[in-house]
Amino acid sequence: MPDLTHVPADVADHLDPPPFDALVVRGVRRRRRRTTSLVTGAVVAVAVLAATARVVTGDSAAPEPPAASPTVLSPSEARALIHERGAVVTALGLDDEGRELAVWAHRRSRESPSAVAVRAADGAVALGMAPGALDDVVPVTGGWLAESTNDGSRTGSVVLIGPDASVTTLPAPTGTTTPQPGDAAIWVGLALTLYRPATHELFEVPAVALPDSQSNPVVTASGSLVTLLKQADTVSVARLEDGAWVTHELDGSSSPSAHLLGGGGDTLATVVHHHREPETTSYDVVHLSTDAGATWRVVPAPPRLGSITSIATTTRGTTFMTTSYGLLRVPAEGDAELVAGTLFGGVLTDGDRIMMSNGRIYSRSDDEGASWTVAAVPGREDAPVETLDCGFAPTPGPDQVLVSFGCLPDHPERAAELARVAAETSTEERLTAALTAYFAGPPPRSGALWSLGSPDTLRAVVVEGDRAIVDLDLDGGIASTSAQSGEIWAALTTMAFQFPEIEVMEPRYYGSCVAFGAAVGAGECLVVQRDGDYVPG
Amino acid sequence: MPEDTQHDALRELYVASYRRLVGQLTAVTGSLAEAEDVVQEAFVRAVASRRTVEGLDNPEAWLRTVAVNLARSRWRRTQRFLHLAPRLVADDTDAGLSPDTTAVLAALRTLSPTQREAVALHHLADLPVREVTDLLGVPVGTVKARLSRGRAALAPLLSDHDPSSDLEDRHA
Repeated sequence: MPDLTHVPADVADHLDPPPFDALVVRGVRRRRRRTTSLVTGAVVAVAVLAATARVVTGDSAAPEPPAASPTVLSPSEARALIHERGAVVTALGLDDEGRELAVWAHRRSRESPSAVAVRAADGAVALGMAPGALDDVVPVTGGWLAESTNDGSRTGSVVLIGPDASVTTLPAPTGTTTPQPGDAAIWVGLALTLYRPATHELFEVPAVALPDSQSNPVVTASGSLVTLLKQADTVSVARLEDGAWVTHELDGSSSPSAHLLGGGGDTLATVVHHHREPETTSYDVVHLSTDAGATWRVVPAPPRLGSITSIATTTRGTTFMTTSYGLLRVPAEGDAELVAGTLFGGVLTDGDRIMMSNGRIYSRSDDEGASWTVAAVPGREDAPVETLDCGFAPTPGPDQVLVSFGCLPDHPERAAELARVAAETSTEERLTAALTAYFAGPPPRSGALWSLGSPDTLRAVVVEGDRAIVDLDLDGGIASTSAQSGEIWAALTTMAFQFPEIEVMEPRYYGSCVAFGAAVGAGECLVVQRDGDYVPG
Repeated sequence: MPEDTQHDALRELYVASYRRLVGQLTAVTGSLAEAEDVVQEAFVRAVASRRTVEGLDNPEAWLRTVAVNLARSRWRRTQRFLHLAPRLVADDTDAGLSPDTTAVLAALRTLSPTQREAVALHHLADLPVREVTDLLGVPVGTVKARLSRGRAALAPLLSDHDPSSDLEDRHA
């Protein structure tokens, strides 16, 4: 046997490794996926706690805005961004005074600034700009906190969005403190940070043992910072009290892989996601505490829930969770029940109203899910809320390709528009054109249509014989919920199989089919055949 | 705001190990593209399990094990797509590699996956037999049998190589 040890070295010499930071982002986003996807879901419960704490402390007036950093207000620039084709809502929020927040960004680049629109209870809308992307939104007294990234700072920063849509960068933490009633907590990069509304100060958390996997933090009405810790095969509730973490094992029964935490008043609710390998089956277990985390019980829930993707708790102690099969209502006492059909996005509350975000529109319920109304998100009050395009499927001409969008809400059909291409282009170029149009987003007038990602999402399209390989960049939790995963599969297959010469569609994430399968929750590399079968690839 | 230094150790590991691992996994999988897939995925999992990985005595061995397991999972799944795999493999391994390396990889692809992983890990990645058995989770005798059969299958295909360089079970 000859010496073959030179072969790996020869291969290594020809490599061009991707930036390590790209892998870090993939890994961290994977850890945070199930919480960051909520945006305004679980974390909105902090607003309820903040409101409660304000009563407790007697601080009935909103604090003065911070003066340490410039406030950005550019209504005309914000209006232009919001009305551009490709502008999408990246976060929604509510506060306890009935204000509604929408954060808008353009799909073309995560480096681009964000616009914020705040609609008051009387319908008045204020617009402002943020220098970077706003990844998380946490309601606090006097506005919303957000993690700002791609704004020129290496590790991100924290901004305060005011009721007037002003965006103010807060000074970096200068010390540590223990949580107090009314504080809020937010992840900034990989650091857990406390915010004190009374003084607009940020603090590092003392002696924090960061979990293997992050979950959203909650500051309880009594001033405890609560989060979930996943260590090995155990998920524990952890409370930071007097500078030390006190943990309570919540679930050590099998292999929990992700978890969510929401809270309102003294009610805390969690969902622990279990993933079994190699069978790749998954299930969720709901835990509820009505005494600020001192004791917990497992809530009986319908057997089929699929993935639970967001969680919010009202001041009455009723928790709502969005699941693969609809909205789950978990009362403080009694069993859980499904109260609405399949919906997209996350659930949020201002303590009383329940809202579910669905891209550019949202559904609102004032009676705990019994009835719903649909409204436009702040900033696009001019756009009609319509669903009439759902189910529309035109036949492409020789110089056209079909661009297929998701349809909202509760519509199983898809909707399509036609994009023009040169008549003699190759299948690869035509599929590229269709996917490019998809990731650019639906026409602005189509308030009922949605798509995922941004133009940056599409990395490459290769057609080899009857096989279409679509390589995507799914960073940022684009396919983090089951509804989003379903949408990305539906979009890719619909657009690939409009070309009769395509028999197999293989999706990839940064060149990896395995990574795509992991990102969408399939757990393995799957390809789709024209007959609709998903088979290991 | 604290600097993001939490991944510095993994970053150093990435710089030190990525090329080596891809080189080894290319031999294991027979495909450069697939090797990059599984090694990148292994690093993504390392980031997601940073504390666990950084606490290991040999994190590169952990990454190699994860990558090999990912590759093995893919082998099992691709059994139903054998008519597609050869074409894709043949396309991606020729780019930029020396003719000698290309020939060795082509020869390795003729082996069964189990023989190939044993041969690749022992004769190309230069791992001792004991480490190969630990990595693959099979008895020493099984690994030696696979090595023996693999060498026999490769012999006629690698006849251009120096026959005097007999490296059978160098580390056994």
